[in-house]
Amino acid sequence: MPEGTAALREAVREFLDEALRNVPISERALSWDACNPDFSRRMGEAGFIGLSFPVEYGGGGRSQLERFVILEECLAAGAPTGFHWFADRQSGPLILRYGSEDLKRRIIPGICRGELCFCIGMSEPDSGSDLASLRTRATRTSSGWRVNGTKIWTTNAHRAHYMIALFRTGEGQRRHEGLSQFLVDLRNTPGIRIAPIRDIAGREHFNEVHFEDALLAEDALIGVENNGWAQVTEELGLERSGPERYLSCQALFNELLRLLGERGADGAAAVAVGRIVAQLGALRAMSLSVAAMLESGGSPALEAAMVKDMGTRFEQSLPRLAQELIDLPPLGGDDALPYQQVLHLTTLLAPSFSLRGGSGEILRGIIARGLGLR
Amino acid sequence: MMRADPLLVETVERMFAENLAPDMLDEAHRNGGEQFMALAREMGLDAVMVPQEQGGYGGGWPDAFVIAEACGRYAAPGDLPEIMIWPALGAAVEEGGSAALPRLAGALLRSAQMAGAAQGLVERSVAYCGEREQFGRPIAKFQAVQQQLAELAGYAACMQAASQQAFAAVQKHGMPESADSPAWLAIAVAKCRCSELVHPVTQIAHGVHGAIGFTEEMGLQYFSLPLWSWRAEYGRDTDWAEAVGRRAIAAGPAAAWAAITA
Repeated sequence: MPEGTAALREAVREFLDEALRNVPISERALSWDACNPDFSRRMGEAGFIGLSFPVEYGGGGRSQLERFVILEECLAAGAPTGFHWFADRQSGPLILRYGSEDLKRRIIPGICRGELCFCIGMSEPDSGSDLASLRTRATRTSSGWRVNGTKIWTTNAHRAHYMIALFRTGEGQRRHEGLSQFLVDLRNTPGIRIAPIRDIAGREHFNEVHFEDALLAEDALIGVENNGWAQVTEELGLERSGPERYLSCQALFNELLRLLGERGADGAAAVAVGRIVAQLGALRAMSLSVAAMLESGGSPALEAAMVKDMGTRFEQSLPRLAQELIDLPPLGGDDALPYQQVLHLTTLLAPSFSLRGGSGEILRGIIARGLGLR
Repeated sequence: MMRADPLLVETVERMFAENLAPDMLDEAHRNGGEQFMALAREMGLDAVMVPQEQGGYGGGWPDAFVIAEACGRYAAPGDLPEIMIWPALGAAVEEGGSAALPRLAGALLRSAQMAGAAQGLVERSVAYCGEREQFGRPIAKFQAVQQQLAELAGYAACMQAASQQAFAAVQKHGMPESADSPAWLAIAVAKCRCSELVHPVTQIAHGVHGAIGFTEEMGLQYFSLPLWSWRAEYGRDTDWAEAVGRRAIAAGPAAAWAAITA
């Protein structure tokens, strides 16, 4: 960690202590899966969103490693960061890298203020792991683009201002060619229908998004036409390597530690807790080294896939480990202990960890390619 | 000096590659690795951590990581890592020699050697699966094998990151005198994680090699035998995990998190 991060860490901890005082445990359990626009606005006011974006667009002008400090402190405290998370993590950096000057001035300051919510339009009903097979098409018109097709599993589409979408714009020799990225104004574009999908816990956070002759302006295209695959691959590097890939269950770990402290723990429980801490510490070292590579301008897709693959398996193991150590059932509702509520929510959330951001098999395929096996 | 000297990295890589290629290992390990150790001494690798004013190289802990990791990755014979580390603990090279190290220094050193040996097994396994043909093609072309190798590479990368983090922590905070030092937790994490991952790493590496990997001729034993010893030396993963867990439970969530991020 560079010098100066200690002061920043202190500042974030103080801010979170205060800002999370009235945030219920049910939101803290979900952490970056929970949307709280008020909280995001306060994060923005405090200057904690877009920390690594250039100052001229309202960002903090600081390093990736300093941004990492903000992220991990938010996750450790169970801050409900979902409203601004995607914009801060990938949509903002994408626009800064490939967007026009006008677009940057129009969008980035709102992201940094915590006012804009973004969603990511990649998967389609017939294109999940095989993303390059997607069919939603943007066709040129005299004044812009006409879009037809369906995106699915789009987290936050129903509350987002914008979608960064991957559409088919041309035919190439290979399926990966002929794809392009677009900025879609979800709130002001006729021809877009958003239908929420309920998850196994009854929550509505992901959606089906239908495009029916939706018209986009000429400048909705981001980056280079038909270069979408390369851009998306870079974006996924950002999406896969961060601390949210091993800290999604941190609220559960915190409650577990608290309870073991109160009730006392035997040697076997101490070993189990120690193994969790060791995994956290090692994953953090891996994730930090990717952040350092991003800082020096690299695009570490292989290393990012490793963080996501190992991090996901770790996160998904926590609810079971907790149950092994404490004989209390998961339970929703205000009458339950905080530990039980968190266990209830994280148990129901955990299956999503290995699908968002790429399945384990796909990630290991990327690693295998990096090893020169395919 | 938080990073290793690039010149040292280059020198070590070249010397190790020239003297410890896979087909040279049987010869290199003869007579306790006398020849390799003589060469290492001649190049001053044993004195990397001797202060400059005492005629040494004056290297830091990140430099020690480079050498210890390379010793694991190339399956170097002899006890260069131990010999190298004594001067940093206040003893002269010849005083310490290959005697047992203090527990924390030993755990730190073993983590780097394990991370290196795991990476050595990754390289051996990837190379072998690319050559060995079954069902009419190299077994590396089968997705089932690819998934295994990807998992193996992930474990090795995890070991590397954890060990490197521990060496950096000792460079920054000094060799810990108690468990309250931030470097203590970094060493405990590294030793626990590296020891714990020896099982899946050796299981996959031997598994993808099939019967030939069980022969002396193939040479996997230069990596796996030390790994199976090192994982228990200077504290098993269980021992370190228990110490870490007890402290975390006693500290509570906020203080435990503060220790992880210190």
